Amino acid sequence: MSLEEMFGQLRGQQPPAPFAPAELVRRRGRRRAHRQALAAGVVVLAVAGAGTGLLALSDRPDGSVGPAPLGTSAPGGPTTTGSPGIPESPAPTASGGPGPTPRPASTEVTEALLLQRADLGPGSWTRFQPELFEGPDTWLWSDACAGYRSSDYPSLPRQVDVRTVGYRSSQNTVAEVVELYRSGSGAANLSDVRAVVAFCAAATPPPGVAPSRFTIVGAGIAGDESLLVKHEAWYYEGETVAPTPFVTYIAVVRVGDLVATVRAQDEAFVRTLALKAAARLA
Amino acid sequence: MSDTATFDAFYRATRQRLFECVYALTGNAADAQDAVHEAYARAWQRWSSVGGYGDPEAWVRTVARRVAVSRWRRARNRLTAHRRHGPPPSLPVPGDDRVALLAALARLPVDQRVAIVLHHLCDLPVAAVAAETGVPAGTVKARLARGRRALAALLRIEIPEDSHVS
Repeated sequence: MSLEEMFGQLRGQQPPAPFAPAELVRRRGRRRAHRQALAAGVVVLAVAGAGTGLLALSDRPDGSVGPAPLGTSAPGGPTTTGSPGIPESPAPTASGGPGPTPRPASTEVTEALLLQRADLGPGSWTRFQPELFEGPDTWLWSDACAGYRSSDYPSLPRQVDVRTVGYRSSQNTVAEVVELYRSGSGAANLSDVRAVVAFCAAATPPPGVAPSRFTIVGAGIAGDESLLVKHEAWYYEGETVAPTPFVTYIAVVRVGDLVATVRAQDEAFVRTLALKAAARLA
Repeated sequence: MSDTATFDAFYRATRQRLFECVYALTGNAADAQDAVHEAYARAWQRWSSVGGYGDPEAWVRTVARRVAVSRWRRARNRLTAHRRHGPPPSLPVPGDDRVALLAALARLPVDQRVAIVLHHLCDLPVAAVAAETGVPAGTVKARLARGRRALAALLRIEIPEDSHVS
């Protein structure tokens, strides 16, 4: 029997149960959005939600990303497993700071480039695998608001690798994405972050979707180039939108062609983590 | 046609095809079906955008693959832990070509498995596999060649030397 004939036997394979009716799938999508909005204030850190979807940093059991997105490359699988048993790299000695940082060209995002428990300060931190990407793009800003289109952000096809990590304590949740871009493209990605924030500032969410607002509140906080973004995500409480948004801060730090994006709730904490992240990348 | 109507029609027209692809990737029908449902649920969350794409099926397929492969990796990690502390897993039932193929696919590196499944089961040409996985066409061809050789060895079948992909 040939390979083609063997694959032919998989065609028409029926699932173990009938497919859910379309209405149930749509309902699952709505529940998902609602759950993510609720999670914003509870389990996780949360998120972006406007437009056609939400960016959530959750620790759902199905984990996060796998294959590379359209137009990008993430060889070998883009995420870590987040196992507490993973040996951690020693804390970096360099402190992140402004100015160009020459470094040898990387070919992948290694474990040592991710924030480690030692970087987070006092507390009992549990490592987990956050779910950060909702659509095909392995970029925290993908689908951040209505009208998002991958093709508007030219650096994305030049993403070489991406890994994510999350830590949770009784008080805080931290999530980080570290991306590697092709040589000379890291700066372009920061430009794309500015562009998507500007685009989303002007976007109007579709009816029934809670609004969300991104505002650049700082720059030059760490690394060769950096941004600090405040994210206010309103969410539904029953049938009405909650009066006050859930607020998180996102630091985007570039060192060469490596870009770390760190999200947590407290601004001062995020600024501190941005320095730690920059030191990891340097 | 309303968004609801276009989504429902899209879902009904493509779900079986997507399930077959994801099933081949995971080897687990229940996981594959849930990954498929999850991918369509995410698509509905942003259908006003996704529905306007030239190929919304590619979007859903990529999301479903991501969900499925992520779960597969977690399952593999659990299995690794189990192997440390428990008995070895049972082997697939011999003689069942479908089970044998799924078991062989499961032993391929993920990159090769994805390329093989997208090309041989989802019927995507090499260029489309390259676009969907974000690697050059030459890389896809190499993964296909290596994957086919590995499958042939695992399944004890012969693959014609001149077999090629396009």
